[in-house]
Amino acid sequence: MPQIKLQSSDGESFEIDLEVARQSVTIKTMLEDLGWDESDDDPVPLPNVNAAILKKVVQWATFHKDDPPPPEDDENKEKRTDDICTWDAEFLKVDQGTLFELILAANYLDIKGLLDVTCKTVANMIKGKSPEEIRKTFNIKNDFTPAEEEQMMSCNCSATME
Amino acid sequence: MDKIWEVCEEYGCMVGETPFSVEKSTYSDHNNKAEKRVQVTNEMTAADWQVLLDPLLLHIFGYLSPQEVVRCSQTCLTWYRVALDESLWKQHVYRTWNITGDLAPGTESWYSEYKRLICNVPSECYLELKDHKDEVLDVTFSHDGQHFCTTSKDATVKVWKFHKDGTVSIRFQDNLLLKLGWNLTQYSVFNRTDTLLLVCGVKISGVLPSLDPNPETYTPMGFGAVYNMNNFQLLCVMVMDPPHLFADWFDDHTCVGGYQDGAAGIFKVNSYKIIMTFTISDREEYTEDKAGEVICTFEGDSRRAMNLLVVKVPKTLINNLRSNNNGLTTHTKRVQAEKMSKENGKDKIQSDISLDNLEKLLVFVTGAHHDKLAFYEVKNIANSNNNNNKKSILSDSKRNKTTVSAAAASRKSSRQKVDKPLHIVKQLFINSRPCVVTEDLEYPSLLEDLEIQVVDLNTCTLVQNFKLGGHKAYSDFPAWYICLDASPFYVVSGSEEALAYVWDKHYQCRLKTLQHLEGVVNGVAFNPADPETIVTVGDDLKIMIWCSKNRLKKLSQTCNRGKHLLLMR
Repeated sequence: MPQIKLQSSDGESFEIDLEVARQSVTIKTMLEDLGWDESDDDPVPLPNVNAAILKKVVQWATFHKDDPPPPEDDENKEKRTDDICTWDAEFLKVDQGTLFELILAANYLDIKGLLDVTCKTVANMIKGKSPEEIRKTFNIKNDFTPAEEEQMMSCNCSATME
Repeated sequence: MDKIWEVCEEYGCMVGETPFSVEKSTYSDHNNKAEKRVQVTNEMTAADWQVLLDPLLLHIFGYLSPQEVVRCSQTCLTWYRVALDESLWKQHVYRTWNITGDLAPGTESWYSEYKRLICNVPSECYLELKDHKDEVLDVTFSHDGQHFCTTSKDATVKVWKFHKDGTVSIRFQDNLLLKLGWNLTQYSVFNRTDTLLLVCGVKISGVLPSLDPNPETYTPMGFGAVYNMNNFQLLCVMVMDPPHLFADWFDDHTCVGGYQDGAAGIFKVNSYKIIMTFTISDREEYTEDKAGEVICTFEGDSRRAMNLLVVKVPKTLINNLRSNNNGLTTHTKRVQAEKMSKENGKDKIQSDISLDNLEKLLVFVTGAHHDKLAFYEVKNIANSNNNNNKKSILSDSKRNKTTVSAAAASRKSSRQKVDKPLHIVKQLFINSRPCVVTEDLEYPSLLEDLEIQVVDLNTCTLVQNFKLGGHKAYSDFPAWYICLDASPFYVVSGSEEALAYVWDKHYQCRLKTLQHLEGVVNGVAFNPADPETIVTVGDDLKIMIWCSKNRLKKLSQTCNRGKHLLLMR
């Protein structure tokens, strides 16, 4: 199995299976563009991912390396969030900072499966909560003026829309 | 090596060059809100979610229901901005109503459309009236929306006052069985100024064919009765036969309806001048007008002619119609006509109502299988002769022979107003049922699926690509009584499955079904003063009043201030 070296923003190197790395469309395209071959020993630098997050990403990608490619999104179907597999659910039991950085890394590395499952996890943290509870969950500062807030409650009432 | 770095930077567009600090700030739970606010403000620079740029926040919101997205929008300015992203709401509209296509012209955004389709569609029954003793056959609103009138198999006519707080009370009623020997009141229609009410009904002599070996003795006769809306004095009673042709207001003081003078295959449309009398007496005096003035003579089977209605169209449109015998106008002409009718409408709004620049079309359903719509132009009722009539017959060629439409043109279509003050009609909505004609049957057999189509009155042709459906009817031929009505945004129709259906006109999708207890929903009407309110009536004797969620919220607030209102849901 050919191996490839990835280098995190803080200089740490990870040697992983090429097939695992190729789940990242970003890395895959990069290697194709560069005509990378197995004899190439230079690490691929990933300046936007630090070692802690890259380790998590590699862990995720290794577990999912045999997954079929994720299906294209059907815009007209409601997206489910209750289909997160047990391993992923366990894997994503991390603090919010890590979760959001995983989203950034998945987006940068273009790993659709990881991006979807992390975003679903955040969506699940929002579901069923009132605006105030959502603020509390994510430490969101309410920066509306009282006037804006009142206007919102009168014209944009979610209760009416339900 | 250098080369690789260059490429990497190209890809590193999302988050910039600086890797994010891994430092976490964990907040312990604070029950004291004020204390928490202070702390959040102090540590705000480290709020974790802020690393997410708008597209990623949007991706997360894509997993939420519309209600959850709205709740997110109420948390802070950034989330508000992202939550109102059009791509999100376009998807929600598409998904919820299973549609595609563009935003309706003149509308603000997909978000506002979502809100409209959820909150501004009549969907909640807040009032149920059971006052008629038999099936309720129709409901009609006065043009100012202050009254509606119901008619029934119990042969009564009831005029209800529609109060501002949504409550309803009986203003006038009359029993036409006792007064005139009618067997049922079929429908009613207010004149344009809401000063007079025309009630149409049927008087049956003989017994029902099913009970009598000799069905010849069963003779239904159509009548019209006009009431003064000031005091509900009966002003005039007219023979209007054949009964199914019905009648309508030609102008404020003239009714038009059918009249048979005995000759086979000929029927006439007569006009009846209504004289307002203001006598105050206990004894009601009214005129009986047996003939009226003949304004049109038609050759055709009077038993198969029905649902006469008068539509007012601007002269320019008539000219277009006249200029082209095929009923087709060029695109340019049509655009001009629309433009002119718009200008006319605007000009006349202030200068009150002038009918000088309007022409009138008599429209009725005809054909052996009720498969044609006839349009007759009437120029001037006083000098009328048959030469004034320009005939245009619309039949749907696609449904020829084996599948012909048994059309029930709704009288309500005449209230589909584009320019309200002038009551100009540009579109005519029709309910129809495909039918199968077989040699051995006198009448065609009807299929269950109703469909609504639109006739463009500029050209007297069917509007292509417009079809609403899903509602069902089970009655055998002829089936007249499936009413429909249209408002600026919505179309509503009854059905024979105890449901009224509400569709959106632009997206052509079904928005709601309104449930009656049982039987046929015979009559449906939007309140012209508030298109978020619908009244439906049916075989279950019920008059049901529906309003939008938005309206219900306001009504509930009024309700709390002491007004009694039966809130059913």
